Amino acid sequence: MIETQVQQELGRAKNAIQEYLIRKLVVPKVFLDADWNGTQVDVLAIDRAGVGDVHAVRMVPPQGRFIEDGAVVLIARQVLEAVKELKSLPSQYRHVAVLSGDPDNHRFCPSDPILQESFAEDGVGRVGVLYVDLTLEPPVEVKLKPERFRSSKEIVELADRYVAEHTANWEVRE
Amino acid sequence: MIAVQVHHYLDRAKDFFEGMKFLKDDLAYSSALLGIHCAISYCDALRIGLGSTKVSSDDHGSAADDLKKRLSDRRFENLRGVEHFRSLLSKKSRVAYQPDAVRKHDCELILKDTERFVVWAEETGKRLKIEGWLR
Repeated sequence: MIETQVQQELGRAKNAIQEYLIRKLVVPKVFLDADWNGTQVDVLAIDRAGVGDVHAVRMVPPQGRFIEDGAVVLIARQVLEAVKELKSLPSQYRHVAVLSGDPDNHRFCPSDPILQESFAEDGVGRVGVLYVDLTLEPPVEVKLKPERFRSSKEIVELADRYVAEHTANWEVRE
Repeated sequence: MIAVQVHHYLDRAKDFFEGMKFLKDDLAYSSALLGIHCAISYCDALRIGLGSTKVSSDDHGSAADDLKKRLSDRRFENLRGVEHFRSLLSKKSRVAYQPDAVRKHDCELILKDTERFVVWAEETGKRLKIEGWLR
């Protein structure tokens, strides 16, 4: 795939994840390509009109077929790295989204190291894994259900500031 | 105790809201009715949080009056949500019982009004620092 096509696929995947979060949450404010506390977050959704829980999604771009040519190993490693990075992100819900690189291949499943690494150290919270295939309807499938991380004053203050300073890509206006 | 009750009504409101979204493409009337019940539960959560002790009543019109009065007592200026709420309530019987046809388009408007009311209610609950509103 050429660079433009890759960017378009990433953009479409962000839209698909946004739709998924809109369906799942109650009138969220959704931001794309958010700079969240110094970390790049591909899709950021703040539930309940911006006063509720923060959902952060980090995407892992398509890598071709998952099983062939060792790509499955590459994807698993990238997902594992993304899961590790998200564990320190200040948000109540954290998701890694794996993008399908091949319409004939739906075989991605989180491996044991990812399953083990996905838990918070104290057990309160688990990074979720989404699988995005733009040829499917709906295109987003939950591969690993996220569990809520501890909330904190820091998260609430970050969310308040972010909502005040940024225009949402999607929101319901009063 | 107030926080527990507020949570209860918020959870119920969220449940109705999810049902509304889930049914909206296939069952327009059911979806619209769930939207209205979602608004009623949000109103109950706000009223309990603002000191009301009795919210279980079929007279939802008086609920709108009570909410408006309690917001005014707090000198809360944005009362647009109360009017959204009244508008939703005025359609409840028609959607649920009356024989005259409610068009699919009317149901879609109810869903939009519900979403707007939910945004207003969420922001109102937060701004008034209602106990139990934020988790």
